[in-house]
Amino acid sequence: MSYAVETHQLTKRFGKITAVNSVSIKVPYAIILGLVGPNGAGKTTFLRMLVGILKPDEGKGFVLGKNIERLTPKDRARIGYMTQHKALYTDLTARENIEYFAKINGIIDPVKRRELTDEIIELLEITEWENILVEHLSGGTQQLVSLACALVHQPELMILDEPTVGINPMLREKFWKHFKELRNLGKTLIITTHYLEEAERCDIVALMHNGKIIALGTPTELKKTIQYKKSLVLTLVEKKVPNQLLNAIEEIANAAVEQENNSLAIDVESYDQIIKILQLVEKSNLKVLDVKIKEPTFNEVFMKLVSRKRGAME
Amino acid sequence: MNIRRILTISTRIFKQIKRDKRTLGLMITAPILVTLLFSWAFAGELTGIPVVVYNIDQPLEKRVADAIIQVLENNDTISITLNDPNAFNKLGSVYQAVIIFKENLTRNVILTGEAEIQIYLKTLTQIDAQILTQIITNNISKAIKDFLGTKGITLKVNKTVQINFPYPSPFTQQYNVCILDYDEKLDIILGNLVVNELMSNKDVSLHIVSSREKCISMIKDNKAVLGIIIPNNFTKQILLHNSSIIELYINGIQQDEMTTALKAFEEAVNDALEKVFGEKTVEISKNYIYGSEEFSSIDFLAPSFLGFIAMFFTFIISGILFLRERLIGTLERMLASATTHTEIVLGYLISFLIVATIQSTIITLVTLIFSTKILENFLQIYTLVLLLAMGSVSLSIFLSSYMKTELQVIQMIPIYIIPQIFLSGLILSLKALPEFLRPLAYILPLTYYVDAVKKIIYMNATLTNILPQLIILTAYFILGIILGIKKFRKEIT
Repeated sequence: MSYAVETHQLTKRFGKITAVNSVSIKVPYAIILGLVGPNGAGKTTFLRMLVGILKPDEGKGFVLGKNIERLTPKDRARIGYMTQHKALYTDLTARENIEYFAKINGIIDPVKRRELTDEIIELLEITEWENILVEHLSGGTQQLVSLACALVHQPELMILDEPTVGINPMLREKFWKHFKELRNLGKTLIITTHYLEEAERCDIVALMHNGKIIALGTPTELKKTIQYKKSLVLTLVEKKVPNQLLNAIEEIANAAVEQENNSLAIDVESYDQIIKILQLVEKSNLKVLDVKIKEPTFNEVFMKLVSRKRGAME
Repeated sequence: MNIRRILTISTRIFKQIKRDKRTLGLMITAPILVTLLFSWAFAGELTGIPVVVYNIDQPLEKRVADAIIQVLENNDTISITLNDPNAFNKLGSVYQAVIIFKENLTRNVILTGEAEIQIYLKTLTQIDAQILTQIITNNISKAIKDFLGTKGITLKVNKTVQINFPYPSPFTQQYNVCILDYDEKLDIILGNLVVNELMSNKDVSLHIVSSREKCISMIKDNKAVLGIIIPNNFTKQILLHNSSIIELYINGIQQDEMTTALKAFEEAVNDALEKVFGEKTVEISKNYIYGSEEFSSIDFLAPSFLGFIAMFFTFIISGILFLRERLIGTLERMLASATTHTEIVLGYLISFLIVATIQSTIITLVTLIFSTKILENFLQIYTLVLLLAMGSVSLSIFLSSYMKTELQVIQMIPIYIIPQIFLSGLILSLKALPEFLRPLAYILPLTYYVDAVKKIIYMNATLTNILPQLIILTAYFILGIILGIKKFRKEIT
């Protein structure tokens, strides 16, 4: 069986730091792979090796069946790469940027180039900004143009480095709609992200930490391995909370209450528990100023996973 | 390699430059401005440099006649009578000899080294005439020698002899001599002549002060560049001993002003002496083998500086534009695209070379306004400027791949650009460099450019004459391309 991306113990060092540490992964065609990890995990370095602009120190890698150390211009034209920075010529218009990248990716025929440019501009709905200089576009629109530049030559494999960073949720929705469409067309996408909720939309998620892939699987598989808790934060008028009430809450949540000044934080696992706790508080005549349900940050989940790994090793 | 992709990159860069007003400004107006400033600074000539003089020179009071009379009076054999109006009537009776000092005796002795003395003799015997003549001429010679110190002169004696008894008979041993003394003092004051010469020289503006202290204080207060003190015995020393001492006080803060002032002073002294002695005492014969007297400082410097300015601007612009591509990340994107490293470097090279050509042409044209000497060898110089700029572009692309910020490009100026000013022979001669620095000079491309340009300007060298330099400059260009592509291949960070 052939894979869109296949690496064997791919390693890259910068001086004493090992940015990517013996990564082996097989990515089938026509899926979305989410590469998730905190800053400095080695995601970008890994991608740069895949597109052939960084030479690996050890190991081997293949994209679309070609050795990443010997990619020809023709091979590169089959890959679309969106860098972490917007990487656009700000003094050119959106259309000029898109056409330029089409051209240097081998779309020489002007008629075809225009067709492809029109197509991607329409698809990503940037028609109304196509003739505006990039420097005058909003950050989100620039991101769209940047994506268009990576997709205009209709590559088979798309390697997108944090394509949705810093854009609003509505636009992010739009991006993901396109990613899924592309996947349905048979294209393979490798997407890096910080956002845990984005990882859930991928077909396969790889968690990266310290240059290594520490977990790999479908989002549901991964969720099972990580205990995924929300916490309920109550802000009260008074600082004094009766011990009786605290004990009752802890009994419901089956976890300890953390008290800081006039706020209480309790880890919860279900909405049932939240409702029960709120009812309890209401009965006790304590005045509640604010109620928040805090999603665990990616880092919290991540750290949990990392510490579990460490524990397993010991 | 695909030419169309290379051209795609080039045309895109041009489109960007055209829209980026600041870069466009730096590209066109900055070189014009710098070249203009340079040309104005060097095309100008120094005039009116303040020079102060304190002159108390006195004329030579002594007459040659006085010196001779004194010597003759000390002689026991003869007794002297001065200026007897009836001298000639008494010749043969009262006086055995009449000596005439002409009015220009002193002048001639001093200025031409010739003295003419007329002696009229009327003695009893031949021996008397001989003895008298010898005493008179020997004493005059001695007197003049003493008077002048070292200078020797030619003494011409016009002798008219009358003898009463042509037979040998005992001689008298005591003679009366009348001297008719018409000699006049020399009214020359050399110091005044020097001052007059300085006054007529437009390069300096002369202040005459009345004391030595004022003269020195004007130098100390930076009000004058050169202070000249002409002593009271200046004329005397020069006329009698051919040498004298003039004290100079020099304010050397501005070397060029000082040089001009000293030159003016030297000329003034020479011209003054020439007026007095009728010939130049210091004769400098100037034979230009290369260059000529019509060359002004801009003619010397312009062709060399032309290259430097072109190199500087092309280096900065190429470096910054290439770096910008890296900073915004588009370079990474291009590297991941179907474009090869070579195509990227060449694409950049083509557009920067066109920029370099435009800049070099602008700089050359602006320089032409001030120094038409370039026009005589335009083809050779223009070829060299272009070649140097090309090398600058390719090296800039290579070096900028080591840089991470625009500041680092600017930091290359003191590392790469400024040393070339001092080490390339642009201003200072390469020979002036200490031994250990010389190899460094021959690493820098500008050295070869300056060398070639000097050969063209001074020796009218043709392109074949400067073939070695052309080859080396081309080698720099190619080296830059190869290193640029190689560095690129090695991987980007």
